[in-house]
Amino acid sequence: MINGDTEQFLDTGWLSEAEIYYKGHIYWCEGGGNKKEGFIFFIKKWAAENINNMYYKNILSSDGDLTDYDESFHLEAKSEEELRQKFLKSPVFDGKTFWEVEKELCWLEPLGNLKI
Amino acid sequence: MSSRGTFARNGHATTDEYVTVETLESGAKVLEGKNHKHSLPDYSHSPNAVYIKKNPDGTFREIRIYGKDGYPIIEIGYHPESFLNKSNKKDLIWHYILFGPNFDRGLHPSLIDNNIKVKYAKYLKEAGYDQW
Repeated sequence: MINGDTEQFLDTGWLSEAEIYYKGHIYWCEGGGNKKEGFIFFIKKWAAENINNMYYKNILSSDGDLTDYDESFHLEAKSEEELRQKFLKSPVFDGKTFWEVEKELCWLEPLGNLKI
Repeated sequence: MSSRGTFARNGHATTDEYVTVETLESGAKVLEGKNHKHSLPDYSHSPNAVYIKKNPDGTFREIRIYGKDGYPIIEIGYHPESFLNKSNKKDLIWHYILFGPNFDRGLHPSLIDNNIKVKYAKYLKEAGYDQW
């Protein structure tokens, strides 16, 4: 993983609103849960530009909306470990799994109004 | 495979891996991660700590409040949240999420309510919250 620690990502980062860039898109990773209610994980994905492997800039439509937006990826499991394994087996990154593209994934922050 | 919180218990993803860039009047500390750390610490060595993460442009992103045992209690954020704002995917929205035992993060975020406003008013004011 570029600009991020893979082990930390898979420990708590993946559930804590991590913004992962892969081939023209940001993958907003978030989840949560508990033993009583179960656990969920979802990804919100949209088009973005990678800035120096540190930041990302959203690619907006003429109306100012996010483009290529997709929030259909959603997982549920009874335990966090079961959830993690489901995620790792899912071809979420353009048909590839996390470990198949791990070296290309880049953990970024939003550029916002930062001037670089 | 590490389980959730393994890093925190081993002292990796804790405040050891962050620098304090600012301490606010309330006592809340603005942290920046070292070595590509992005999230706020999973666990705080200091009891009742309050840590803030800002966006790269200096605007407020989130605050995390920890208990006397160092475990996170609540995170208040100001960023897009489609669970709460389904018609708009990119506008910022104030919300919070609670933590349970063992670093369990809540299932869904909630909008800031009066209870949260009262309990964390001083931090919200410093963060720029303006929906009193």
